[in-house]
Amino acid sequence: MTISLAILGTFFVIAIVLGLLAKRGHAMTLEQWSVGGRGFGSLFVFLLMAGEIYTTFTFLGGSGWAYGKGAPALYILCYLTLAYSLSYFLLPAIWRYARGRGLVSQADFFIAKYESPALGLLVAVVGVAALVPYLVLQLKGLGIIVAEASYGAITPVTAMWCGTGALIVYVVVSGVRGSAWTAALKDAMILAIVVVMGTYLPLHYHGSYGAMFAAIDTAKPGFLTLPAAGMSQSWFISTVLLTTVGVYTWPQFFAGVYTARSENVFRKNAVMLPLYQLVVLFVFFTGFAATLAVPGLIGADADLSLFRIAKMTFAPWAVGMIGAAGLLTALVPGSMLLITAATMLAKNIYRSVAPKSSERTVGLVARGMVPVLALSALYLALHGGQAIVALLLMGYNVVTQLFPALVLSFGDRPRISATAALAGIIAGECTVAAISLSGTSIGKLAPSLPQMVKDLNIGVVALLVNATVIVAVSLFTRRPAAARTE
Amino acid sequence: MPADAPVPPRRRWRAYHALALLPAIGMLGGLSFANRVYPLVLGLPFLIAWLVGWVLATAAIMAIILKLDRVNGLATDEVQGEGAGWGDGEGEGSGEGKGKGSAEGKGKAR
Repeated sequence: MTISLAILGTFFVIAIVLGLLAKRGHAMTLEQWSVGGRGFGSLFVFLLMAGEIYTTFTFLGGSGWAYGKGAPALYILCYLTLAYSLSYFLLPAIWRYARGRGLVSQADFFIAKYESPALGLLVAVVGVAALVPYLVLQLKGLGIIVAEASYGAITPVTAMWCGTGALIVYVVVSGVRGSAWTAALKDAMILAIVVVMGTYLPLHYHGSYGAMFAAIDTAKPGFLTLPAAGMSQSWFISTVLLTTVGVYTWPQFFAGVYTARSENVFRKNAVMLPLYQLVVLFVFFTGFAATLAVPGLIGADADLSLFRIAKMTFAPWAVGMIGAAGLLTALVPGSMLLITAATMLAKNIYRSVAPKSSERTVGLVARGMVPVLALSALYLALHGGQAIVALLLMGYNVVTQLFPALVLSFGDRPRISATAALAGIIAGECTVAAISLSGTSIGKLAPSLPQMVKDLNIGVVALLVNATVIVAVSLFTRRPAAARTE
Repeated sequence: MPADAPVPPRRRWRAYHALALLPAIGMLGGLSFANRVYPLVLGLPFLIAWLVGWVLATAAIMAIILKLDRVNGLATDEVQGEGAGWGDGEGEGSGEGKGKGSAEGKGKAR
């Protein structure tokens, strides 16, 4: 037990030191702080992109879903893969446009494309609203991980305070460079640990993968396939497609794009990342092994399955290493979320209130926002209760509403007017809010529809409303004038 | 900074880019066929093996697209910073347009 505490502590300190060292030799202008001076090569962009995918959600939630729900968990594997093939075409276009225009946030992109500060303000507000619950979830995950891995010696509350403190310090000092450096350490650890667990546990408890899955299929028939109703095939397909288009509407991914030094970085990554994310499979194997080895965790407790089986099987030092990896999966994405939200608050919200403020002031405001955001998230994590989970589920649908306006902005000029984009996003967000707050589903709204339609992800409805409004408003408004050619 | 002034429409699409749709079609379109446990493939339930197979195929397909884009001069490696590495060493990035102009030039030249 003491040894696992020591390991957790050591890695916590290493993460902070790495984060602080990352600043060396760089004057921290806003562009350096938010997007690393657009100088990151393949490896760092790769790590940032992958780093945001291996969050506490994948680590605890991925194994928790495999443990509690079975085959539907595989949607994670699918949407990540499809998002990477989409990224091959999407990201170079975004990067190419942003380069030379000095864009540092997602809202900047919309402002420049649609020549509409109002749209930018809306995008910034939507982005921050979606980022905060995500940050809260990282902190909560960090609390769980440290409490489990320290065998209860550190309470979740203490862990969350320490984690928040560390985040504030290295994010304020090093910005995105700190994230990139800690991401390198994190990925090396998580890769090793997840592969070891996902290989060892099934073999240890069942002798082979085949034996494990056969045993699961006998004990829980239907667990390893998609059911006929509920999380059925049509649920699976609609969820995968929605989340695929949703990935790059998250503002932190957008900002990650700007850090690249060249556009081919994304093309190479699109080839490598599908292979890299196969590691998620080993997270599932861990969850599957746990279904038979540590049964009985219900609801939100399913997220604890990974640590429960680890503690039952491994020595404390190994549990400490798993906890350290988990700690980093909370810190790295957490820092990216903080930087992105702070940048948008300063550049796109503060500046629209005080348009005369200098670049330097905006940079200072951005860093000043970091403790404010981090502490608000900590407060919500400590006092928010279950409402946070509902907010996060909403978060994905919230950012996905930006997708139509994003896609329609490509080409030499946007295909729709700023008004149409604005109206579509607002209509979509209102639908998301109405759906989430009333907790409805397509099946409840229209019970007479075929099962296949009833199981569709409810996010599809909001996106349809969004698209319909865009079309309707476009009939009455003109799209921006053609770009000037030289 | 005229380097990034708006440019005329570019031809960046090629028929082989449609290959990128294959993973989505195979992975999701094949579900009704693949949604089963047996036969196990390398110890994995058939559904998992099916999806993993498509993940591997995705990497291969994207590698092929990248290769073809390189051959066609569509995957130019434009490096940030003044004058560094424009045109991917094919000598077409010179003149007015810089970066984007060069990509278009190559597209049209075919």
